[in-house]
Amino acid sequence: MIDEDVLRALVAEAAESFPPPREPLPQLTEGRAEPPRRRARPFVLGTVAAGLVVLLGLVGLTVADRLRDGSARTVQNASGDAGDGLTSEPTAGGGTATGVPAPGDAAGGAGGGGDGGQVAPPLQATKVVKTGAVEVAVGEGAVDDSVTRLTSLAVGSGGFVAESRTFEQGERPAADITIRVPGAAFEQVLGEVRGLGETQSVTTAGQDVTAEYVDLEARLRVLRGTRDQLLGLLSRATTIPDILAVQDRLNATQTEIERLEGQQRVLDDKVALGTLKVTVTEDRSALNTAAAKPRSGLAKAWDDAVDGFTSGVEGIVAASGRILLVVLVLAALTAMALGGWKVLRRRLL
Amino acid sequence: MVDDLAVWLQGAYGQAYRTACLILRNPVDAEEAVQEAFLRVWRFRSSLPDGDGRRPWVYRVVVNTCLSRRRSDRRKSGGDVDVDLHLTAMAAPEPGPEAAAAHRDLAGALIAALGALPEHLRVPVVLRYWAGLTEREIAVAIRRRPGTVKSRLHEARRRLGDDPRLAALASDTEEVAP
Repeated sequence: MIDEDVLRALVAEAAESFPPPREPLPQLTEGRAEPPRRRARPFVLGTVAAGLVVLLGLVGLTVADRLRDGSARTVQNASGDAGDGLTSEPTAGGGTATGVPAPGDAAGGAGGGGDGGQVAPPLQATKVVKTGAVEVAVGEGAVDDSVTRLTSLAVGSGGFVAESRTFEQGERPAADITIRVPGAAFEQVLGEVRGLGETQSVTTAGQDVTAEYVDLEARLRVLRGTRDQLLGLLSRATTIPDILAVQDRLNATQTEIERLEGQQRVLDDKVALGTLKVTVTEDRSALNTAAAKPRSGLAKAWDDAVDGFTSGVEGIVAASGRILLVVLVLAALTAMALGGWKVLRRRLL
Repeated sequence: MVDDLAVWLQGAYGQAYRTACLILRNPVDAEEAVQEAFLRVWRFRSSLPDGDGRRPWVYRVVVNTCLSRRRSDRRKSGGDVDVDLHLTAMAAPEPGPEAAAAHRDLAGALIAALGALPEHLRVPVVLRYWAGLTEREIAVAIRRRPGTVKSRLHEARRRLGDDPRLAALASDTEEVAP
């Protein structure tokens, strides 16, 4: 162990051995007190990079949210166990034919004329034809009541009963009823139908007919233009053969216009009102079995536990992507904070 | 206050410069580091404590600047900087060749021994035995507890005592000193 005084003397000797500073301390009070600018340090660059990562992460989260919201809306529209890709559809409500008024609608009936294909058509809303079939087993003597409830359900939602038939299935009464309900109320009605009894099967489908609708509109626009031109020619025709020739063409064009308008009306009707076919049967055995054998508390608890575990795992797997992103963002934020602290500390001291 | 600080810094400049020399073992780097440190102190003079608290605070800035410069040099050169060659060339002149040689031996041995110490031991030794800071002031300067400073000083003295060349010079010094 070296003695303190000796060490002090040696250190002093060593310190004095260094040459005096080449330059005096700069005049601190004459505005030269700014420290020299430092080159960008790696950790400064790292901080900038971390900032970019954070920005990208936030953008990613936003995009993911939008995507998730979009898919959630689709699932919500599919309602229940349908899951077959029903598409959302903007509707004007109240059983109107389409979500967006089409140019053809404005032109209205035959001979209206006037749109001539010169105005660009507005952006077409999605047109979806919704159909579904449900089999419901109801309790003893409840078939007639169910038919009545279905009728009032259809009428109450702004639709109607398209077809109704009651029959005997073996010795049990049954009914087939086809109801037409507005597209906007389709899912709600479907849910209420399922609530009539024990659902045996559910099938739903959504057919996107937007392209077909747009095609019809385009063809109608062209034909209406042609019709207007023919009418102009007809007014200027002076000879009988000319008048007859133009009249023939005009008749053919008008017939085609009416045919396409008919198709358009059918399509509008299908889009405006979804078709739901409901089969109601009386199924005592199923109801009785379900009533006679209630699950014990332990079995129910076990099933609940399994369900809970499965949903938890599904939830974790589903959230893993988001969690990873959040972890990355947090790591980047931490790196940025550490880098910033380093810079701050260096600047302060 | 401002004038007082400016005067104080001018007065402390020489000692701080040699402190940096002992830490960095390179007078050129030391001069730049101390100038940078003092300019920083001046820039942030509003947060500088008054009175007895000023000195350890200023030395904290000096030490931090030296160590960050050293780390930066290491990154650039890929290793520690061997500056012992500076010592011979830059040692202060002595009256005669023999005395100058003896001085270079003593200083060179001590600086080499200090260089052999790790940073966390070298800095407290320099601050204690050259700058004259108390253990409590050193604790403020290096942001460690006084107990840590004490144990580091003890460990540094033990290691320096084990250096054979320094031990020989120390015994000569002890003989001469009385």
